[in-house]
Amino acid sequence: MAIPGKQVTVWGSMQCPYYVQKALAPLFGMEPEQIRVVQTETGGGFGGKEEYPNMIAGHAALLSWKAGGRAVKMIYDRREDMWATTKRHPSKTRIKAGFKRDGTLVVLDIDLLLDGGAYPTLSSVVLSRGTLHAAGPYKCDCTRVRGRVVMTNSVPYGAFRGFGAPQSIYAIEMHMNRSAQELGIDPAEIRRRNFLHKGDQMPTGQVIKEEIDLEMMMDRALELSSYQRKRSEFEEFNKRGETHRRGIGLSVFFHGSGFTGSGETRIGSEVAMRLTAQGGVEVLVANVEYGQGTNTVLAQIAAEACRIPPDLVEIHQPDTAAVPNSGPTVASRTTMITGKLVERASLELRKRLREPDDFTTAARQYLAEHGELKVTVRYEPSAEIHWDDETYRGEAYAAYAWSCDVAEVELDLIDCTARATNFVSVVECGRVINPLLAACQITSFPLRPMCRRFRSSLSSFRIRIPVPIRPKVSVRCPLMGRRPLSHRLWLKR
Amino acid sequence: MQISLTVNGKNYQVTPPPMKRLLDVLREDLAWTGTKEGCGEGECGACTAIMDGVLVLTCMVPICQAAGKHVTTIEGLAADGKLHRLQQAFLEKGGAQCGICTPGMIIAAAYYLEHPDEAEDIGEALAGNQCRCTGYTRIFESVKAASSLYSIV
Repeated sequence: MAIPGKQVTVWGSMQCPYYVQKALAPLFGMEPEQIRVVQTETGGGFGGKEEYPNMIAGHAALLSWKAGGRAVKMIYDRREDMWATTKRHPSKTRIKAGFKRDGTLVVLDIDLLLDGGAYPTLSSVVLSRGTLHAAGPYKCDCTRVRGRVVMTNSVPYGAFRGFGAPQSIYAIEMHMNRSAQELGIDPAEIRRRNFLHKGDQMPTGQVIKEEIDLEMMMDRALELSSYQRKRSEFEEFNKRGETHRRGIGLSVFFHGSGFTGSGETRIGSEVAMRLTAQGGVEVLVANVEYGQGTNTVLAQIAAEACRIPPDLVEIHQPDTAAVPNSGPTVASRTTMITGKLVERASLELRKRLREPDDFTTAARQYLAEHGELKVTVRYEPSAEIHWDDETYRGEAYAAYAWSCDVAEVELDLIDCTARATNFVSVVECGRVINPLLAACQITSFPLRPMCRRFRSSLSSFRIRIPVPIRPKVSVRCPLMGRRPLSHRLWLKR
Repeated sequence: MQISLTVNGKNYQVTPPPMKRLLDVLREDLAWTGTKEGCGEGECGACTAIMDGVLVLTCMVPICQAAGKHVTTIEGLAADGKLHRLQQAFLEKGGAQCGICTPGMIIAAAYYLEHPDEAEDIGEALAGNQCRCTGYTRIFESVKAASSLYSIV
């Protein structure tokens, strides 16, 4: 709904209400405060609703303006959605690497090229993350990464789960496999010889300060997947020349949590909390629940910090008229950044109530005596994190998640299909707030690019699934390339 | 065109255009918004409901075909303020994430629990329902949990 010069209100499915507000203000020549953006049930997000809702909101609001302020609702049907909204950037990466005879990496030259489509969207930021993940979890003192995004006449590309990193990780991991083949070393072994450790430097000069044991993680993944046994078994099986071929492969990678470099400092997220009449608290954040568990995790953190039962915690609907800007719901930052701010706000509330034993009673008493109590806390940049956007030097990310995946596939040479028959993922994800939700995210992450439909059974960190990758699938993602996976494999044979 | 139909045990008289989708009548005219629209072209299963004991995609049913029929949507599963065992299982096993496929998924699973002979396994029973979040594994676990609960009772 838009009444120019007076007020614009937008309701919609989105990840970042304040992005929409920021985009609409110049569109209508109004102050941001005059634009109200309310997040409604979002459904899935996956980055696709990070920045593109700005456009849809803008179109809807302009139509409403044209209709004299009448309410306008815009819905894309499936085809319009495919045409107009953003997808993952297709990429092409060239890697040159120099190894010693024993497999030690000495030089790495990476050239990453992204197809940016016809509109700028978030391409530059996607490129940034892609570039920073390009060298993989390997120690190499002489690394050069060149990242470019080019404009093409294609559909728009934008944020999508992983945000440029999966493209880069795929490239470096494929390159490690090929290098292993050239050198006659096992793919697991060549990785082991080059892993990053505490104290090592990443290409940006960032020194790893956390304890990370990639060897242990990889050993665990190899053990769970019976990697060594299966490698020789599959080699034997493939020699027989039947209608199927089997393979097993692994990848090791890291993923930076939160915004790149000085992003968090620039956003300066704010979180507010206030006491409720029931003697609980209400959390006011602009971060959105879209199935990843934001509301559950933030409620857990608030409940634990305030020392109250979780059902006394309310989460306000993200609405720019009511909640402060706690930043966008992207980049695996919500639990880490917003969660910490919620904890700080909770502790501040406790302090104002003079550290009560019984929070609920104290809260009710305070409300009766003094009226509303609301606290606001703001993100404070850590003194240890420095980032220089000009030289791309410094701490690219405040924290990293690490993972080792092992996948088995079976190819049917008759009907041109590939099935993933087993998948093992060992993840170092830091402190888990909610084990069920974390397991949900981890199990769904590898399955998403692999399949559209399958039958399966799995336990949280060990996945056994036959996945038919249907030959019709032609998703433009780096795991499959532009052509269906099965076709490519068929042609190569 | 006046049409009467029963949704979750309640009778309704509606006068929509005859080709209006059952999905839109449910959501817009009768405010049963539990049923979701995903693709709108019969591919994703998000709008699944049970009509006279048959599993249907409500985006593919013109309202004129629903005249006099009994429709059960996700809202019709919970009874007496208690969640259906499938809903409880989805909650406990992490079968739901963003929630768009969940109503259709649960309706299709409920149909499977009632008619276990019609599909070979859970995978086949839910083959018409797509999910982009979970990777399906936890959905299958949830249905398995609910079905084992069922056999004990």
